Amino acid sequence: MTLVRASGLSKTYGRGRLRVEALREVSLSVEPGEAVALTGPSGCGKSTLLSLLGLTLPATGGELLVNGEPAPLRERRRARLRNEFFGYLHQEFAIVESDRVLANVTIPLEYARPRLNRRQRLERAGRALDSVGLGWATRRRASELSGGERQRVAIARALVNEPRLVLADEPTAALDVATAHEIVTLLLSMRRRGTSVLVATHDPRVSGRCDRILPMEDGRLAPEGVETSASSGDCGST
Amino acid sequence: MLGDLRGGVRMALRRWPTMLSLAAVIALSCVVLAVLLADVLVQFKALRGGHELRGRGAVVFKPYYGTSRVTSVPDRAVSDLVELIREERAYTAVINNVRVDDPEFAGGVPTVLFVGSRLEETLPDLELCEPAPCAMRGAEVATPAEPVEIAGHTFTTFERLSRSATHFDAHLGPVPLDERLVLNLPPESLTRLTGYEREEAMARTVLLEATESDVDDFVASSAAGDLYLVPRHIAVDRPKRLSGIMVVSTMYVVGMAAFLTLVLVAFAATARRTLHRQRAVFVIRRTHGASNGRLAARLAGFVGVVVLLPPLPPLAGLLLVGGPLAPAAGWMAALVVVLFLVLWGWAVRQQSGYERRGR
Repeated sequence: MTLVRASGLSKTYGRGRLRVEALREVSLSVEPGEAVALTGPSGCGKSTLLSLLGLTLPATGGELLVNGEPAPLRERRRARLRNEFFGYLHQEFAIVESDRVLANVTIPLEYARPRLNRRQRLERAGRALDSVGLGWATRRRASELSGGERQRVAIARALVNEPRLVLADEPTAALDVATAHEIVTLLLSMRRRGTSVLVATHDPRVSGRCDRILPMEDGRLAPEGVETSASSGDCGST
Repeated sequence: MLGDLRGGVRMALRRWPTMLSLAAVIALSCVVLAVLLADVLVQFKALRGGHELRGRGAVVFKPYYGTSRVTSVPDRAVSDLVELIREERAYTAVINNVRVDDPEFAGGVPTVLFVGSRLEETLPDLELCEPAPCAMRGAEVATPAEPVEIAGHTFTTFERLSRSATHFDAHLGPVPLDERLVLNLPPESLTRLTGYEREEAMARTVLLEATESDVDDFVASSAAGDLYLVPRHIAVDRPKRLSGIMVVSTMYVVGMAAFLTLVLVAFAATARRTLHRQRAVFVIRRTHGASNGRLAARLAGFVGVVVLLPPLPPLAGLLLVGGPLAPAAGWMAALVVVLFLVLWGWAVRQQSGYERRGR
């Protein structure tokens, strides 16, 4: 079943003369196990689209189906879906620097239903950190880590609830080339466990490793996405 | 939800030197403001009492003593007063001299005598018992173990006065009754009071809608016992004094309220910086499943630990102290809750603004 399907999705900020159309009639879908790149210049609407698909912002028009059902309107149900269905990677707000690494990863588990006790939360967070190679850093303060390590903590947090779709907003923007490569590899390796990835980026080294590229400009999606060589099957394995 | 509240508290405590200072100043300001407010509330009651008396053309008397000996108010003067009270043209009170020669009277509890049904009318807040004779006790006073006997009446049951009940005396101003017994006596009881009590009853007489000849007769009859009473028309003499007291008290409150406002503005500035620095926390939590309610709970913990929690224990202490401080502390606590709600709402708006802008 298609994970998310957007039809004619629009988002407008402000009113009157201050009205800004951030997103205009965007339609797309993401299938299970797929890696899709949203590309385009800064301010073209990539982050807004991710926020709409990830249910952190309400759309002003169009239809959004999540896991085959219309996106809920009530905030509590939206929050539940954000917790269970989506994982997130932010460019600017990768981690909470004042918290320890383990505390950063347990955040999604605090909102999990059924509720998990502290021991269960710590165990699952520890496993998620192990899976990104940061088992040694659980007690470290997040601010003590390098840029790449921080993004790996963010990936562990995005995965800890075993989401169906990870939304990543410029996950490699502040990283050097080698670290960026390592993070993208880690990110795309999620597909092995059936997790899809929708990544907003203007880095061709990231988009080139995804199954599809959806170019955006001025709040609109190009009519046809671009199939990449990665879609042949080896995407993310390098 | 509790975890989010705790998270908000921890967020504030990470900046504990600043937040602790602000919390201490806010708590101190609230306590001082409550004390000043108590004064204003009492003065306000006095002002209302004065207003009621002015409206009824009240005449009060300032006593002068013609001799160093104990005055001897003639029976005729007391009988005239009894008649005036019966005709509902006067009332009186004995506040300071009830059984002064018997310290064990009423179990040592200070006692006030009221005589005259018009007193209730001029001070409706008192909600005096009726009909006389009857007795009441202040909110802080227990029912006396022994019956209280005075002027041929025996009192065994005592109704409870409302908290912070206050009598208004034109000379003394507000007289708090929380820690006193109040005996409401019929007019004829005046003739059976002691000399000191009769003297004070004459001096505290309030004549209502009195003619000049009523006043002259009253003054002349008391002068026969070496008690010289100088009449004062409240409508002429008192307004400036009463409003002056009110203005001074209000100035204190306004000054303190301005100070508290400044402190809250300082807190708001600090909170704003903190929320800006901590915006990642909220973005990450929202995207990973925190609802608006849970983020608001986190902010409630953050604001509450500085603005709400520190002032409430000392204000609760003032509530327990009782007297005129109790209602003021209650009002202040309500104000603190309102301030907390305002700042909380503001913080929620700030935080969602930072989230929307992403910077």
